[in-house]
Amino acid sequence: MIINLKFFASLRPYMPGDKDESWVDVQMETNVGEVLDYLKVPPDKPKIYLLNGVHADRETLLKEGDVLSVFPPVAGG
Amino acid sequence: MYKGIVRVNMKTLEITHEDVPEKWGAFGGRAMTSAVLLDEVDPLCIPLGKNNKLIFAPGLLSGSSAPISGRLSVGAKSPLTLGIKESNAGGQAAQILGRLGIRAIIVEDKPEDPGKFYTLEVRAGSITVVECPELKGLGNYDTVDKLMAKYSDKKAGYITIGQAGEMKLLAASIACTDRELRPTRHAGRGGLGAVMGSKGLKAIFLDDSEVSMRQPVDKEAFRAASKKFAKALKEHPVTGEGLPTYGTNVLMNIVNEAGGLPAKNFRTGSTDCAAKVSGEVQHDMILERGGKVAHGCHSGCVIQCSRIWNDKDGNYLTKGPEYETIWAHGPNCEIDDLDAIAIMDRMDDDIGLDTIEMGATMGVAMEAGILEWGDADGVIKLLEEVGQGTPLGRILGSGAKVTGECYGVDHIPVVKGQAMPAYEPRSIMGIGVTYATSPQGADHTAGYAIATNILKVGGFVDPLKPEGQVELSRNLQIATAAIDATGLCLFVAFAVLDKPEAFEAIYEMLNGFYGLNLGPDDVTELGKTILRAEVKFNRAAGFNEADDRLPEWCMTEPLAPHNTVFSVTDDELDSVLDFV
Repeated sequence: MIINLKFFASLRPYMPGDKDESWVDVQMETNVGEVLDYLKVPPDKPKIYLLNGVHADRETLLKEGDVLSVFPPVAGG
Repeated sequence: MYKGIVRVNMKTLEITHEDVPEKWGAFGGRAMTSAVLLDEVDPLCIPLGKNNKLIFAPGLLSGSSAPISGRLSVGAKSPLTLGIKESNAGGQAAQILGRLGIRAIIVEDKPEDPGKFYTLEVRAGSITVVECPELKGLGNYDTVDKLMAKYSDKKAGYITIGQAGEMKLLAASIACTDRELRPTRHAGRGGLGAVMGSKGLKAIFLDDSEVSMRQPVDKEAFRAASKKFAKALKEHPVTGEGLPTYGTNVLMNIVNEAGGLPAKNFRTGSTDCAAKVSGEVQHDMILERGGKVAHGCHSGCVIQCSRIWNDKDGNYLTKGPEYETIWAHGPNCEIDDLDAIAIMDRMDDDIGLDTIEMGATMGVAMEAGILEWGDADGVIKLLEEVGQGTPLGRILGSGAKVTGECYGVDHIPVVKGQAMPAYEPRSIMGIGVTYATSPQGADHTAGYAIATNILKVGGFVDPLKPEGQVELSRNLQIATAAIDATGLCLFVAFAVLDKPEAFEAIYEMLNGFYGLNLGPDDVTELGKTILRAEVKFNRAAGFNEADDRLPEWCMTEPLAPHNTVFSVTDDELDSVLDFV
């Protein structure tokens, strides 16, 4: 199944192909953490996982067409 | 050193000095401005009339070597909200006032001739008022240039108003110069520039060249606490890495991805514009043009979230711009051109306008059909009109509410007359509680629920549900008020919320500096004391529960992409500040 993956801020270098986002083909029953491990994102780097705009965690299962946005610790205001 | 309280009468041009009365003894920053207003200003007074007062108060730690302690509080009855106002600014002013031993400058009355403008000269040995006809009609940049030519003092600071303040427009700000003596750091919210203009006060020159850093009562304790505080800020990934690298605009993508970015005048919660004006894009453009990331807006800042923006030719144009400014003039108006937004930021700073209010106003102007969505050139032309004071310019310069009402718009994003900032209350409900109930009007900084709703700082409360938002906003409003009294930048809160030692260090710094014995409960009580004063002032000014509500459409029009409405009940909103 295809998911839309987006990395932001200091996670940008971990995105394949020097882009800010990509569409990744993953197996059914894959969770958030497994995709990030596959892309060699150190597990202590991301802090916030948004799945279709809703907060998720590394154990959340993915499904076809999901948009996964991953952020390091960030803040502003 | 001065006695602490300096009163400036703009009718008689008399200056008097007073010791800080015991009742205000423990107050600084917002605690001081709100206490003076409650004690001395009739809540029913006309904001631009002679009976309003304008108060400048550095924080309790400003002027000391405490890290990031240079925030200035400016207070008055707001002509925009018609309630109490504390507007908070960076820049050098608070550090200088602190070093001069000034706890508050209280500007009173107004000149009999409304055409006259004055400069207040504040030096270690004397404070004087001089007429300054040569500054009349100038923007903040030209004003500071002329003042620098006159005073030629590199170790100085300036507080000024631009044309908007002179015209007493409701979105007028008060500018403070940064370390490079540029008027880029504004007490933006609430139209306090108009109050300064009404008093005929064009500028304040601050000279601390003959004084040194304030010294603590207990040097060892203060030094240890300051070191502990700086270490905590450096170690926290947000204050130590995220903010210095990407600045405040690092929020653009995450708020947009979370569906909480008010786009097209609060018509939707996300937009394709966001990615084009994000903190990441801004960071790369700044470095390509020889600008600067990791810039401090005042001496002693250890976070360095400010930046220097150069134009396409590599020449300085403006600071930042900050997230709120980029959102307001960008996605809120369907504008996705950072260069155009930077020009608007420069114009706002120069004319002396609150960037949040002006961006929100331009969104309302687009809703009204005054110009097309996404028309960046049109916004720049309209800002020129504000500076020129054309009839339309004066309407726009009076903010989102006035503009919307003049043009029959039914979708005006304000609470207590003040524009909502860069977070959607329907999909980030904690911030909606703060917008609704803060005595300051819609103000994200008054209780920054984004931290816990979106950024997972200080825990996590689901932004899409009403549960937990009241307690979150209440606690943040109390903590924020206390921080605003210290002179510390509010961004320390990101570390304070996660690291107990950072919170401890705040009252330990106060204890070391003043020889006190404060504990965590005293910090909480200080925050409550400030909010009590502000609510009391507003109630006497005629505010009631109906003023603590969001616009009707926040409860009736579902917001994409999550299709939520703001669902915290009225009873719950009325319980937020129940301790007052």
